[in-house]
Amino acid sequence: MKHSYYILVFIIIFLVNAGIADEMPQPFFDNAAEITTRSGYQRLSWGVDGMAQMSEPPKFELQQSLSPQFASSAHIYSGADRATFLSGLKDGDYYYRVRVIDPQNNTMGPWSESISIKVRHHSLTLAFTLFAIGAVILLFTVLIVVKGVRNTQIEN
Amino acid sequence: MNFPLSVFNLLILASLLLMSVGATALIVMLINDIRTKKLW
Amino acid sequence: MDHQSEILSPEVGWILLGLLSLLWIGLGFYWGKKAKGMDGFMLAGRNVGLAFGTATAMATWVTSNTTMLAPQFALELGIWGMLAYSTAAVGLFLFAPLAKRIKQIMPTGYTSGDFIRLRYGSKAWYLFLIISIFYGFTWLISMGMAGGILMNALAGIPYTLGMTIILFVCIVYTVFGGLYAVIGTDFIQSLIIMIGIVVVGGAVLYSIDLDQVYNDLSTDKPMLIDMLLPASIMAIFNNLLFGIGEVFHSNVWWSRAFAIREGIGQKAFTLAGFFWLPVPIAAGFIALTSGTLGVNITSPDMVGPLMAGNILGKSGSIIVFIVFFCSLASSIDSLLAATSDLIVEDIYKRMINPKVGEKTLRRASVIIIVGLGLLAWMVCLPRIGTLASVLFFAGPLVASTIYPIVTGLFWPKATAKGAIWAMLGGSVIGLIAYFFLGWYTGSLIGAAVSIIVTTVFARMNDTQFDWNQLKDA
Repeated sequence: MKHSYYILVFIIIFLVNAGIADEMPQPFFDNAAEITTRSGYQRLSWGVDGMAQMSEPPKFELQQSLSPQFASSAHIYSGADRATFLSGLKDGDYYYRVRVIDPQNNTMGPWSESISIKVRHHSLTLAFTLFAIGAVILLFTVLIVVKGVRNTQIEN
Repeated sequence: MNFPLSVFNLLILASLLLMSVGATALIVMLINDIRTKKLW
Repeated sequence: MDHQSEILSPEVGWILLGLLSLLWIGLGFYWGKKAKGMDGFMLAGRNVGLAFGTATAMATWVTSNTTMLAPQFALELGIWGMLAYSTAAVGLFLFAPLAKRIKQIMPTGYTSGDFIRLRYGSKAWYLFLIISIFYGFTWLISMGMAGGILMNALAGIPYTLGMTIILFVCIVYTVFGGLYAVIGTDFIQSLIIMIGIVVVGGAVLYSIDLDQVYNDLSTDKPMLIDMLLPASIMAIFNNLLFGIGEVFHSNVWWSRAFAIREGIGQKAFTLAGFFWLPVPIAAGFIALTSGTLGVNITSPDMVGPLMAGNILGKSGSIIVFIVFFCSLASSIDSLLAATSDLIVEDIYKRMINPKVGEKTLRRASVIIIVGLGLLAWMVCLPRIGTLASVLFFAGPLVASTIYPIVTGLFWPKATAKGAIWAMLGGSVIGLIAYFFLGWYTGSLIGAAVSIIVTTVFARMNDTQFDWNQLKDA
């Protein structure tokens, strides 16, 4: 008898929890599932369906990981914003996922589908080539101005 | 290869210092132009 | 709306907006009384002194580009990004000797278009006007949009209202005061900007530890303090050449070269370069503190105002609001004045109605300033794109004008064909680089094509240009 009582309580708790989990929708990213950047910065934005019906804006948690399975992950942001700007990333593959959280009741919804950012910086050879071209152009520009000024002074 | 911390600090401090100098110089120039009646 | 936090209450925002608007309009009316005749209205009497001359060059160059885009550059491209932004001062340094030369060879000129027309003839002139007006207009729009974004981010004033008011105020005082009002307000605005940035920067240094910021960057955003961030290394000379292109060709700067008194221009522009040089770093480094302070940045074009408000709280963000308003107004007014001068002088007077009298010309100026403002307002209404991408689209175009201008001023052998092909080729190839290599390469490639083409054509040319042809502007 006592035993079945415990089972009943367990079932009720399970149902209540399932109900809460039901209220926490799965968010989604607005970005493409796979992004490649050559400059190391990227803006991520996300949302959930049915935002308009919610009494207050939901809070989110965003995680970053170096593995697609999120074996170890870093906390990037939690709060009500629906976007974040990442920058200064080194070469590599980064994975992101987001979920709805309720800090007051300490509950959280399911994770979104994860997305990846592939950071592939331009080659330094290209960068320094352009840098060198720029330096040469600047040098010539300064020369044209300086020589021009000197010549016109002679004319006068 | 990172920018050294000292360079980072120096850049920021020097830029703020240079701007204070600039603001002061502008006021001095204004007073000078008004005094010599060469404002415009 | 991806962000909820605003820093000032809308009431405070509206009060500040109202007071500043009244101040600028009042000063516009006051100084406008001096603006008699076209030389007065368009060029402030051609006798502007050192203080006003330096301040107007500096304030005009401190735009939303500096106070809002420099923090964005710092956040995207790190320390090199801030330094890259600072290199735009080179444009002012190099224009200083040009300003002197311009005043010497064209003592009665009005616009940069006048120079191109007299130096290279009408084909190059048309092309130049298209580039120049496109650029002026993009710049104007980027700042109208910045005004709306800023007031929304700082005080929750709706984007459309904020943008409308700032454009309206600038139109009113430019219409009534002409370049007198523009230069006069520029002086006050540059003082406010410089003192404001120093106060904000000082307060930020007081409240956070730079060593901590540096350490946090090295773990969270390591490439920002890396000396070998490829995109930034490319951006350095790209930005420098974009800056040179902007200053050399734009009538905003030429009108100042004409307006500043004989013998002072070179000094004024050089000083302005020195005063401007530190601004991108002083205003930009604040963006790098976002990680340390745990502030989430939802959109990079808002990082400057957002961080300043976050660090300084309510009282400090009043300063921020005023500084941003001044930096926007000081450039919007200049652009309205200089771009409308270009349309009035180069299109209306030279192409449509050459026998126009001074009164009609003044009336045309007013209509064009208002029309230009209205057009900018309409384009600003839908908020499209980030600030950088809108403005940098003009980068390759203006960079391609650098050498037609410089060699045109100094080389008697520079040719019209060279100028035309330099502008066309530089623009097209620069734009291709912009789209295929990244926005941070467009100006660089545009300038490279331009310098080669102008030089080659000048080398092949044997005729000498007679400088006296420029005198009858």
